[in-house]
Amino acid sequence: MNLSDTINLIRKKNQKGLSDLYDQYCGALNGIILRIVKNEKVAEEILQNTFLKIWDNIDSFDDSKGTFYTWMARIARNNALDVVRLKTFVAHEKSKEIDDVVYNNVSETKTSHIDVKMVLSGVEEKYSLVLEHVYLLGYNHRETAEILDLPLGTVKTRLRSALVQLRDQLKDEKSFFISGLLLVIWLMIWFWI
Amino acid sequence: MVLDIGELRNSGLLELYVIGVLDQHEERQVEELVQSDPELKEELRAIERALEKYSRANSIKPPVQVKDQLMSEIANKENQKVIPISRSKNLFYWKVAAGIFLVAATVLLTQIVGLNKENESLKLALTQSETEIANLSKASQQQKEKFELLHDAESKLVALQSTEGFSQSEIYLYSNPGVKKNFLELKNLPPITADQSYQLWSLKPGVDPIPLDVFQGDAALIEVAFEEGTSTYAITIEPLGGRQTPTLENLIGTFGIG
Repeated sequence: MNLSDTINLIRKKNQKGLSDLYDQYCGALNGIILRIVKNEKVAEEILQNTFLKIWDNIDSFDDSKGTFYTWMARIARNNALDVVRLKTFVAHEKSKEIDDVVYNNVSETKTSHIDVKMVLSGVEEKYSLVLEHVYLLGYNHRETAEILDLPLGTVKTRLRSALVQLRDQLKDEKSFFISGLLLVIWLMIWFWI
Repeated sequence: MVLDIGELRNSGLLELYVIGVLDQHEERQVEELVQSDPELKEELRAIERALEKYSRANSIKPPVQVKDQLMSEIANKENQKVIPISRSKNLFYWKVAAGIFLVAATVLLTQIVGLNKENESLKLALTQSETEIANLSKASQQQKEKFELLHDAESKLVALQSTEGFSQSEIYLYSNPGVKKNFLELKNLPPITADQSYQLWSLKPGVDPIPLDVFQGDAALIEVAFEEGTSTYAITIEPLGGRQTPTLENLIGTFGIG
């Protein structure tokens, strides 16, 4: 089942459509969410809410503006960031009355065995670090600049470079795939004749 | 601030746009530029595909129960949407029932009102009938009395002595000096117009004619006044309602008492 079929099913409020979508993308979206909130229980809730939002708002997806995955990822990311900001706000409010100790405990949520390492090879580490911070960890370019102690312009260009290298990888993989396919077709024709 | 397309490409702004990190103003700028340049659009798509691949490569599988919870919540949502429809189905039946009830009630009420009206008019008719009966029995009582009086031994029967021109008239006077009652039997009266009446007079010697009863001649037998000492009773035709002095030209006839 390709993605546009799945989307159509969801548009028709067919629950199997959402089930298939979940199976395909829950891991990717969960990866984004979990790295931002750093808490498994919270991430589960946010993941559920993300798919509920996708279900409810399917009609607001506009394919002229971007891909479906980008739309989903944005929802997931924004949900996660909202929770983090809320928690930080609450923590700040609380800390006005309570000890530093408590404040520290509240802001430092459970960091279970989350794999934050870059899994994609073929991208230089200095670029992938920036990409990781902005895309997976949920920081914006200014925060990333601060954390990595880089100028803002550098953050942006490194982000660009990371993506360029990623796309090159993709291209390679694509061409590998296509040439493989061509080979198979050629062989089939050969044996048939 | 207008961005050069080449600048935009190299700035990393497109990447930031896709990730969703730009503010609304910046986003709109990028969108406008992308819409106007198909090459840029293709660039954007490529970035999107790359980022998708990147995040999928960094997937973290969630626990199984998340999906179960999600699907059951979706199922609940969709079911709740159905219930209002069945509720509205029930409502529909109730509406139909209410409608039928109203129609029936209206019909019944109309009937009741109609029946009440009939009842009223019947009551009225009954009252009128009763009155009529009372009148009739009164009248018959009077007739009875008259009859008895007429056949009383003391009663005198005098026939009308008609004057010239009224020879067709036939009236009888029953006079009873004992109970002092007079009755006229109007067997045949001369015709009168609508603006005329018959009048009875009492004639005594040496006295002007005394006006007595005025009548229209509807009844066959009427009681009239008894004038003590009358020597002659006379009947004339007078203007409607009678007069104080008789119109002698219209003298129908007389009754001699003697």
